[in-house]
Amino acid sequence: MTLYWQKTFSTLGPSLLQGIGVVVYVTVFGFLASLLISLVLAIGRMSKNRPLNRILVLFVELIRGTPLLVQFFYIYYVIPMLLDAFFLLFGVKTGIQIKPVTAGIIGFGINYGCYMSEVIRSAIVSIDPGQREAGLALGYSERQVLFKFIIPPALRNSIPVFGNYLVMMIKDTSLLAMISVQELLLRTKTFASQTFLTVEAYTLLALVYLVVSVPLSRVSVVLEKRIKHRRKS
Amino acid sequence: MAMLQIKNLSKSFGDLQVLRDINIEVEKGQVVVIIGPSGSGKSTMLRCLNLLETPSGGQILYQGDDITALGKKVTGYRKRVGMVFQRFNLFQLHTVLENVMMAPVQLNKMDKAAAREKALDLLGKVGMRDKAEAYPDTLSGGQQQRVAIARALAMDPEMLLFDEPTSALDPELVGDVLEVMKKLAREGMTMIVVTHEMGFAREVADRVIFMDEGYVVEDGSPDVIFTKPKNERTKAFLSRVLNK
Repeated sequence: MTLYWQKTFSTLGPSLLQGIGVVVYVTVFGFLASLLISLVLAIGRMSKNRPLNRILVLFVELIRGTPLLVQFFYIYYVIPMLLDAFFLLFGVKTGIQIKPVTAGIIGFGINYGCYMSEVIRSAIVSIDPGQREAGLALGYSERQVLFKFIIPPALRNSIPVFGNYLVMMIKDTSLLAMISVQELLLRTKTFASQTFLTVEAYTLLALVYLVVSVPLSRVSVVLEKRIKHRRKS
Repeated sequence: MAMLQIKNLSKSFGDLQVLRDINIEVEKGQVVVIIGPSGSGKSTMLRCLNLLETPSGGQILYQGDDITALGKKVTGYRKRVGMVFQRFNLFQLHTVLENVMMAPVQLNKMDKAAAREKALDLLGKVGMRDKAEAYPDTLSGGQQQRVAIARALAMDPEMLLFDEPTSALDPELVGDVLEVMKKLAREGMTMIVVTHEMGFAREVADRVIFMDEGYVVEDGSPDVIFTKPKNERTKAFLSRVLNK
């Protein structure tokens, strides 16, 4: 078997570089969205409002109980149809469509938001109750205590786990090939089917993922160490 | 009228009754020390005084107002009554200086520069001024506790509650904290102190209260309590802790 690395590099290489741009874009916004959603979910879950609590638990179970890929399909194909049908009830024809990249960001935001909300929740629970009591004793309200003395250290303690989720999200962007986002996998697949350089193409693809995610995991390990040894020096 | 009046206070956790019919009055400027064996309810009693625990029955009158009926306004009351905890509970993500100046700035809208001045003064008073920029986890327990006292003082409290302030400290660090507390007592601060430091009780207290099994067993001057206690349980407790 003859392998054509030169051709693969020169043709697929530049295309993958563009693909990295898409991956970074989706990951950055998807991750920001998931952070926001996870925080809202975690705080909502702590409220004493029973019905709200039930609804949030149900929602998190729903999302965690279905595959991310199915959720991407649902957001990309089904939600626009449902919205269309809904507005049609009022006699409005919308023809709503969601861009594949947008569907990706929304899907990541919701899916990762649900998983990360559990991380934040357990981080909140593990904050020493003495911090709350000290805040209350000074005259802060429960709400002020939550936002000033509980959530900041909880988020800080969650950073290492968030790092792992970020790396996972980068790799999960490959799922977006299925809803026609021009990310790395779809570009490779197209190239391979046109040139039959299957071995070279997918090997290069795997290498690109490695090159992106390994340094990031390193960064999150370093961050974790720095948090543990903070200011001890 | 007494500054603080505790009337028929009781507290249960489920079936467990921790406080039974507590009646105590504290005058302004008094230093009241509460002693008693572990599990006697003294910490719970203290925590009821700023509603970190909700009493199950009875009343707590502060300058005539029933604080158990305050509802959301409890924050206003807590600003006037400081608390020092066994485990210090400094805010870990903030420097010593921030710990002390935070509440006056955020809750009393005090000017930042003025709050900083005041915080540094208070840190000087507790001997921690040179650690103003340090973070709590770099300090010893005794140092953290002195900062915690400065933090409570920054709100200009009318009364200070101490919940076993030296119990979590290494023995050689206890003295510094007790020194600060003695200074406050001399300045006329109203203090209610739960402690196992009998020396401190003897030397500083205007009144000593002995609690056991949720009751106030004996309440009197340190002289009386330590030299001629009336109750058998007080005698037994004191002979145990003093003859160690």
